[in-house]
Amino acid sequence: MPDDSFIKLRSQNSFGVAGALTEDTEIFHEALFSGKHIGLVSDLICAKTRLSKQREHRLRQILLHGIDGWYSIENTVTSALSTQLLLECGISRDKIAVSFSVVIPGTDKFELSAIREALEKNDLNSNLEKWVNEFRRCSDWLIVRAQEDMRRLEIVSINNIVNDEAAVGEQVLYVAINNPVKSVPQVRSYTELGDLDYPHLLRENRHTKTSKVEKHKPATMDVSSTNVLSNDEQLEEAVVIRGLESTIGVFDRILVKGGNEVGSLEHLYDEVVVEKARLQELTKRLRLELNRKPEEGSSYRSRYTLAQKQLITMKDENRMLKIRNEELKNQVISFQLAAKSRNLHNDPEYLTLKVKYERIIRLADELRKTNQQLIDRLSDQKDQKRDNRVFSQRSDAAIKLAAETTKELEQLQLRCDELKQEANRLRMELDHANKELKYFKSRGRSNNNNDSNAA
Amino acid sequence: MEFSRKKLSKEYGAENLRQLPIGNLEPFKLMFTPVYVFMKKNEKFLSIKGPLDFFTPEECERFKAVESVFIPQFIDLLEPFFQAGRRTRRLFEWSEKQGESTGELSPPPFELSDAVLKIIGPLWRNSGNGGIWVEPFFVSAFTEKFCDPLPQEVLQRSRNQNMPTYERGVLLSSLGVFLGLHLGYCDFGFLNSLRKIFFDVVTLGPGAATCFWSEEIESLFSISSTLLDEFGLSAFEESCFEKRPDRVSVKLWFRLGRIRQSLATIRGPLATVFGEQGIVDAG
Repeated sequence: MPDDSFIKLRSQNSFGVAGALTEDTEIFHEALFSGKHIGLVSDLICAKTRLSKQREHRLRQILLHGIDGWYSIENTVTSALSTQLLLECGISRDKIAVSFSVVIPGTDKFELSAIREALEKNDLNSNLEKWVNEFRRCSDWLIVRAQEDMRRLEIVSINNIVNDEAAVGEQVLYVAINNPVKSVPQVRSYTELGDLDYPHLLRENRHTKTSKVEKHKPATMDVSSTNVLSNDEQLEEAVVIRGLESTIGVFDRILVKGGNEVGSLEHLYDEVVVEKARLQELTKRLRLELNRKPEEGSSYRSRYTLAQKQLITMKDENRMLKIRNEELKNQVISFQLAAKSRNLHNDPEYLTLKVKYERIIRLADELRKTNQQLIDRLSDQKDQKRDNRVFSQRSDAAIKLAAETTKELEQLQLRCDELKQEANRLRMELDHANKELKYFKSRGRSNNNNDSNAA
Repeated sequence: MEFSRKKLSKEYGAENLRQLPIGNLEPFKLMFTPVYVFMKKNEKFLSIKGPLDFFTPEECERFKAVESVFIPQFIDLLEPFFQAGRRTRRLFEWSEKQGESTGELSPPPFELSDAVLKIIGPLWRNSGNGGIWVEPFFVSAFTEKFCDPLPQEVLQRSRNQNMPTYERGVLLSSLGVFLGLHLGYCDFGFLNSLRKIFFDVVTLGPGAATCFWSEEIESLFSISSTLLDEFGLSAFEESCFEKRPDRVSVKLWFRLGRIRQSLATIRGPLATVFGEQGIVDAG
């Protein structure tokens, strides 16, 4: 239990800084997974808290030790979940508290009493004990909170910010939690560091591309003071709505952008980007010029003033272009999304067109069929005509052939008749010859008889 | 997952389904729509997989004969979530490479967190009464594209043991990762582990957690679980975080305030699994 000198806590058994500070507290939080960006994180918190030089130095010490110290001892990681360090920084009217919540890796027994004993006796053996002890040097009050069965440890370092006097005496409170209180005491706000206007707060050149809406407003902690717009070109990409996933195939992809309206906006957007780049280049050159010739006599001052004026004008132009750029980008995105999300199936115009389209398709089908039938008939007729022509040709040929054959037949007939006549003639001649032969034979025999008779 | 339209007529299917060549199916990849095949004899489309289910290599082999499967146009509603998941993943990969390859300092966590919020913020829709809302089913589509796939044996084992628990595991682990991104958790390995452990705890029980969790992670699990119990597949509104007193809910409430004010301003219908365009109770 805390002694009377320890500050009054609203809640001992709840994790985080809310229980240690009053209701007007503004809390910044960040989940860290390495000690890599400790400088930027502490710069941002310091820029936001705006403490006195001495207190800022102390806050930096706490952050540096808390983050870097933890990641330098956290070398027995058993799973990815134990790499997380939850950082909270709460600032109230008179105090600032920074908490570091970790899960102790390993399987050995974890006891808060062991840490307490080591710290009280100043007999620091483990790296963890040394890490916890180091907070005592830079804290007015320190809470060491642990839930032993879950190996959870939280260090809350509290400092006074109203005056630079530190608290007196031993100001460490050890809290062993069995069941942490779930409800967090009320505070004014919780802000993730990414929601702050960090380019403005850090004043880094590499962030000048990012435009923030609340850039010129004083830093307050309500939600309205957070970032809203992005123009980080590396993260932007054309909104391509695919019918299916990329693995499904290119034939299913539907490009929504490409309409005239969106196209013209994109063109404008491109122009703005080019113009912006030109202005940035010009600004850079002017800066170089100014840096290179700082000692060039009396004309330098007037030139410098002129250049500064130009620079301011250009910056204004640049800012306007950036805003215009953002507007155009938003318009492009909204057009694309509007096109994408437009529900055609409920659109009466679409339904009417669909009905008309279907009717036309049906009509076209019928016409196609009729056309096909006509074509078939036409081709039949053509075939018939072709057949007729072939037939008549063949018929003519046959008639010719018949005529020729008749002629030949007649000639043959004539020849036959001639041959018959010749045959008759020859037969008659043969008969005549036979007769003559018989006659001569008979004459011969009678002559012989006469001779013999004569003889 | 229970869904309507297990059979579809030839005419309806021809008009409303998308063809997906069977060769494009990847084993153990979660399907976020029902998957149909065309039965030539019956002339009907018959569902072979429900939403959140997956194909095993054997099933892919078995269905090779059908050449193509079919999925509903509901897939279009999921596309912005797929795209946001892929973009967030690319952002983390780019961030990791930035330090390794170029020698430049990788972006700090708050810058990453800011960039992530600008990607996932527009996934929330204005609910009409000044709030913003999103459905858990679509959150799981985002997480599937963002995270590494869950191990195959884990998926197969849990699905075979108890399908409703498996589905709850998918939804809850996805919700955990999605809300974790809102809390500014910008470590890819951490978020992958978170998903796997949440899935194991849902499907195998609390003893399955292989490591200790911070109090914030415990709250995150509890919130995700409560959201699924209270809303099921219905959209949950940011106001549900306002009512809860725990630290994580308060942090989420403040973070979602920025989305409500600046990032979820694009008006449009809520992507939903319900209604005629959905898959749960469509007629």
